[in-house]
Amino acid sequence: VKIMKKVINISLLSIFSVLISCSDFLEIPPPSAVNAVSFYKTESDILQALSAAYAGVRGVYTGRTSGLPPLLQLQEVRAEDFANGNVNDDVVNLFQIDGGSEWYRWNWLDSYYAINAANIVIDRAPVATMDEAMRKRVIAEAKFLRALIYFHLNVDYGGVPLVLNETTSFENTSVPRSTVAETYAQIIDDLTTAAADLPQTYSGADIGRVTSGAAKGLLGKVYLQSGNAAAAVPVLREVINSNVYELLPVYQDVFKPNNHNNKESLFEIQHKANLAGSPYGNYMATANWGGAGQGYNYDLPATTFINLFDPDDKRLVDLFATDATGTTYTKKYLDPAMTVQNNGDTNFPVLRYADILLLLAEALGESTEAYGLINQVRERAGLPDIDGSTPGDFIDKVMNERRFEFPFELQRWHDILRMGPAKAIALMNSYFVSIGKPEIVIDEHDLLHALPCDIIRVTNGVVQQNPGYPSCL
Amino acid sequence: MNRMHNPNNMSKSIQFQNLALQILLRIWNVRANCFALCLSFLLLLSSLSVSAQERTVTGSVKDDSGENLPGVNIVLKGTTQGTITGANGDYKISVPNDAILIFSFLGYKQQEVAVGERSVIEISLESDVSLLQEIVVVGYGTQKRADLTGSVVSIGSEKLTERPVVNLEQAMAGQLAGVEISPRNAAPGQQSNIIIRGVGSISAGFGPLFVVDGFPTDQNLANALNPADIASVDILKDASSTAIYGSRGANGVILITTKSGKEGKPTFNFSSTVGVANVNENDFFDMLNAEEYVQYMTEAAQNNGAPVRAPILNWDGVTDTNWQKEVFRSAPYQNYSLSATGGSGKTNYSMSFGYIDQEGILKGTSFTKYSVRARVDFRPVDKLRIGVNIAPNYNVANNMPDGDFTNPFAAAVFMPPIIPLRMPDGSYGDTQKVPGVADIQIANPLQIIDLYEDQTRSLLNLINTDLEYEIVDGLRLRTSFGITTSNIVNETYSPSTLAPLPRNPTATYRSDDYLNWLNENTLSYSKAFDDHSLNVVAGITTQKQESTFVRMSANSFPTNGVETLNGGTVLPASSNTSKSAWSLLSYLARANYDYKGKYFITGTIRRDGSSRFGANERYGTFPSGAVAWKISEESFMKGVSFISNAKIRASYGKTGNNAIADFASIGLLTTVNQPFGLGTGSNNVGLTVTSPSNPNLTWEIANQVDIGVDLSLIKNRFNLTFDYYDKTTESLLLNVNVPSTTGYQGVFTNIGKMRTKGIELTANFQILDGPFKWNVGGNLATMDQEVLALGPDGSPIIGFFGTLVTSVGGELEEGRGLVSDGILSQSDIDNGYPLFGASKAGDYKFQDVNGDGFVDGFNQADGQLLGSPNNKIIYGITSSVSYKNFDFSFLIQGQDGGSLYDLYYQLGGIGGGTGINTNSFYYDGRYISEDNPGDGKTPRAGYFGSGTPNNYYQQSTAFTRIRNITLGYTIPQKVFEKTSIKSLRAFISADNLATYTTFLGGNPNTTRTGNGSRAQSDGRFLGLNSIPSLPLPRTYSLGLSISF
Repeated sequence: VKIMKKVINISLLSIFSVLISCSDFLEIPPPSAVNAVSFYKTESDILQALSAAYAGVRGVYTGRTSGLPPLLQLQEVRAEDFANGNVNDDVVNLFQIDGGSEWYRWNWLDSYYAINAANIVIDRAPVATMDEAMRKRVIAEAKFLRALIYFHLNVDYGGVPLVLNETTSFENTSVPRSTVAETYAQIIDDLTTAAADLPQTYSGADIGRVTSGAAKGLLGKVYLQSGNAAAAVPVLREVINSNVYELLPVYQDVFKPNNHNNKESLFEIQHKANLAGSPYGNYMATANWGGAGQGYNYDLPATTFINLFDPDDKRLVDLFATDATGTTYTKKYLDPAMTVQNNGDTNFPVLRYADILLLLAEALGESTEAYGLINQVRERAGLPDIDGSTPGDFIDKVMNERRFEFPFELQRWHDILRMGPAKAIALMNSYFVSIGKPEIVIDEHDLLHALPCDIIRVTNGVVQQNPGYPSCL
Repeated sequence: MNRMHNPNNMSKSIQFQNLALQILLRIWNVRANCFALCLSFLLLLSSLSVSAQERTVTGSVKDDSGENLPGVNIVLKGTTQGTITGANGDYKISVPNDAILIFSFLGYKQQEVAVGERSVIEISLESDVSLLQEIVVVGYGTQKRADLTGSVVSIGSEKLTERPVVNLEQAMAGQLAGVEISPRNAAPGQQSNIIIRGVGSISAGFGPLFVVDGFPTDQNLANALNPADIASVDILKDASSTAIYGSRGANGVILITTKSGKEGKPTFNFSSTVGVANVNENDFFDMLNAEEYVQYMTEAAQNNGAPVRAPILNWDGVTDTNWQKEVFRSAPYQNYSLSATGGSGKTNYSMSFGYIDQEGILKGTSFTKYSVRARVDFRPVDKLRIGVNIAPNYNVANNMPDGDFTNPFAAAVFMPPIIPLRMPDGSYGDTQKVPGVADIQIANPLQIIDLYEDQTRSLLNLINTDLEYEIVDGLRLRTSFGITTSNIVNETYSPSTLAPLPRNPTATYRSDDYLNWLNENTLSYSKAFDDHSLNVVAGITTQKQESTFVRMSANSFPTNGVETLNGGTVLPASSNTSKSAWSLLSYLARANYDYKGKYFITGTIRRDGSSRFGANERYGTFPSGAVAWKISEESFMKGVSFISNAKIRASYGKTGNNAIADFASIGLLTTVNQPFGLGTGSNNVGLTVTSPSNPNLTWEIANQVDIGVDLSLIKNRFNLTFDYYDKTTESLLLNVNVPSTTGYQGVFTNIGKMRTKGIELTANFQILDGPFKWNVGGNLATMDQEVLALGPDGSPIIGFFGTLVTSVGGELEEGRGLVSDGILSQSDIDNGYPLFGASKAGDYKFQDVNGDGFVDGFNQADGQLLGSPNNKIIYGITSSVSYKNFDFSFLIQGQDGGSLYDLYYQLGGIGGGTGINTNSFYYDGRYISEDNPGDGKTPRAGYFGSGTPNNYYQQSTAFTRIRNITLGYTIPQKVFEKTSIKSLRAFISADNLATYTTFLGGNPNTTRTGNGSRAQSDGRFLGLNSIPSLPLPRTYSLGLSISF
């Protein structure tokens, strides 16, 4: 009986030693990865989540999902001045692309990944333990990032599903598209908050974060793109009057690998060799460009475009180089010190002071003030001033300046769209005639890209295709 | 067949045995350390004296119901002399004085009778129920086989030691119905895939649970056991048996019980096998010789209007290297095991030491294993037992790389025969030394063997202690605590001198460390009263595993003298350590009840809580029930004398599969770099979401029906077990696409469903008994699989570049490709036969399935499903014959109905385009011209389209293999009468003597390399053969087993 008691005691001990901590026993935090459930509690957690949102936005530009850049296809190659040098990929340029294209699927995955990363900050920061001023700033930064991506989506696809909270469940995930106007309203709301809550400048290692100037600048652009020039004028003026920004004397310096976040820059996609290297140089170079890593041919200048440059335009030499086969490509983002493919130190400009000047000129319409703004940009390029007496419509004169100032900056297609549907369609169709492809005739539906079939199918048609494209269902 | 013996015969017989023994021992005498042993046996034999005085004894033998027993074996004790009873049970035998006769008959208890002065001996044999008393381990207990309600197959220790086996997997192959064992790689020391009743999962693991002496563990530890230490292996297949293992039971359970000590004097057992393995050249790929190669490549170039490669034009007409012969060798093998068992009753022990040293037939591969085991049971008082079981194991495996062209066998297969083994300057010949011979650079396989290093060292430990106490009669409490540890280190080095050059010398180091502990507490109660018998067990168990992984790599070694990572530049991006863990908390219960030994009922339930699953689905309950009816016990069956036992059983239950990644349900964050700042900026580290949290993630569930029949006829001489099973697995984990607006592409969801059903048959027939025994046995299993549901829209899962398709209504990983209807002639083209691209005469004529007038790509409309990797039938046939002290047995194993997408065909099938050697399949009967169109199946040389996936790539894996033949001799006990030797058996054995298959080369029964999508397992595809698989070694061995 004594032994029996001992034995039972041993057994009970071993049972209870486990059962006492029974509820904890099955709760094992992952030892080698941060756990999404227990994270986002402190200020440093939120700042790390915010860094991830910035990196998410970078992924939209560089192509996070595939390692290939959809935005270059959607916003550069779509326009007449650029081409994808890979024959089979050039369907974007020729308007022969529909929702089945991987470019679109990747772009949506990249974009909503970034939006979710921003939403995490916007949802979690209000309940984290952190400094109030910091909380306000962090949310404002995230709202700018979210607005930037929705702006791209809204212009490219025209009204998209508005997801404004972190994804925490996979039930009822089919969100229908909002209208273009609703999407703009959300973007404007986010940017207005950001403009109010963000500092004008940062110091030290924070330089490059979103500023109130960036938020106002983007807001001005959004107003203009949405057709509300009158609203754009005051916010763009505020940017100029802040005296924070100026044009760098030399065009090339704006993009130099060691000149991140310079005086001309309102907002850049941040890169750093070896840690977050820049791939744009390789993306836009030809296969045989001769430097580190092969080029991808993804965004080559059309010969018709190069020929349009004024021979005195200083930007001509800054922009272009020719490879051994005689093909011209841009060296705008090529880091001369780069030794490994896709690993440059060059930042990518999202919004810079020259853009603000030309946007304000565009918003003001023909006026002395507008010509003065345009001429600031022309003077740096070594070109003579223009004014009312220069031949041509005012809008063409602004857009022309933009065309030479911003190639390879994801501007041209959106610029064309701002000219209005009739003008945009006429411009593209006459371009196709000029290159001997009169069989390509676009119409209004081509001004919006197709939505990826993927999203339409997964949501069983809750998300609908743009008119004029195969429905994907 | 009545045999009479007289003293003259007897001495002759002994002389003969003496001679046979001498021969055996001479054969055996290959190692000096055995010599002394052998010598002593010979001395022993020569000292034998025979004294005999003739007397005749007659009589008859009856069974316990008074019926005459024919065929009873009667042996004079201590000799091989004997007779058997005739048709009426009569016998007559000559005996010396003081003789003892042993009466034995299958199904009856053996009896020894001292003859004394009697000349007539009538005896009756008591029927022996022990055969049906066979004890089966069933998980948290044991049961009599006769009382089983579930489906359990077993293999005893005699099967594990009667022929040379290095590990458990080899011992089981072909022996057990419904258990499929295929080596991942035939190199020594490599693990096999074990599949019980078919693969039942799409994304999660599909291997069974291994339980060693009650400790649920992994295949590594189970396979490390010394086969000589194993007392029995019991495999639980149906839900009623596996439900006691709950969330780990769905893929079947393999229970391994090691030998324990028995009361008595110490018994030592020494067994040893030495042998040599060779490659069977029938397993070689039939590659072109130099002349054929030159002819084919020349034709290929001409057909395509391309210049003939210079090395082909310049072939010296002499160089003709048979590369495959060069990479194999005769590989010696030795296996020693020494054990001691015994005990005082209070303390019983079993200890053993094992050593295996095995070279692989592929040069550069080898395996060495040291194992030690000590099991001690201590009974301080009658009712208490304390047990300790310690089993450390250390093994070292040297391996070769696994790539399509870097594996030495693969390199040998593809290397052009016009390249010499050695260049005139003595250096290794390879594709670089003969510039332009091939577009794919292949290193000389011998150079790979000489220079490439890949070593895996494993230290595995199982330590278990338990305590069992009988509280009152029939009520037992058992508590155990145990740990297993594994430390597995792998190091590789490929030096700068290994072709193709230039090569950046690279080294890797990886280490996997596991610590797993288990506590089990069970109460069991068994009670028989009147006609009722009850057996209940209930318990609580907890188990936890923690693991640490190290992954390191380095390159740019300045010299090949230092192969450890400090000699090179460590690569930060691929060097890290990480940890993982899981825990399991379980409640279990089982009740067995029978009434009058006729009606049996079993109920089992286990409730598992697992750290792996989502917070909402952490616990799962797995119930099962079974019934059985022993018809043969019914009174109306008593008259049917030829049926000794007949039982019908049925079971149904639910089990789970938890083989998914440890933290699959928890959203994980990984670091991401985000620089800010002026100049070139400074970095910020962010944390980004990589996998979403999924609190609803839960186990895959298998619902299984099993209906079985156990039948024994003719006094248990014929035994048959039949099972029909139907298993539906649901909640299968699939990576389901979600709207990209969530920020994610897909999320693991419990959504898929599939069904597997089949029959299993095991039969055993003791055809002859007596001095001449003949037994025939066989097992067979069929399997029929159907995928019932995939993701929400049911879209198929596509793998390996579109060649493997899993779709609803089909099976897992079916191959896909175009189907060739023959070879295009010019008139076919002129008549508008649908073409694949710009085809010309001599190309494949592919079926245009959708009739749109041209042939679409293999992964589009005209691609067809070509077959599934599942074997529809697997079987094994065994037979053993023994006459007196000689025994002979063989094992045949086979499978049929499965096929694989064989990448080998594709690599070799691109028409000579790349310059690598091709198979005679593409040479013999090829289309040469309109006048010489060949066999109408084989395309012209140079036809690149033969490289597009097509029906020829889907290769049947059917085979029949003579797995083993063994001839043994047991030295008669009489020989040892005056020594301490208790038994001695010697055998010669041949493994994998021949394989009959249409598979092109290598081993048809193997699993494939590749990057599959399974969340847990080694990521191999089921339906793909990637590199030419290594042939199984053909091994000849000599074995000796001695007890003293």
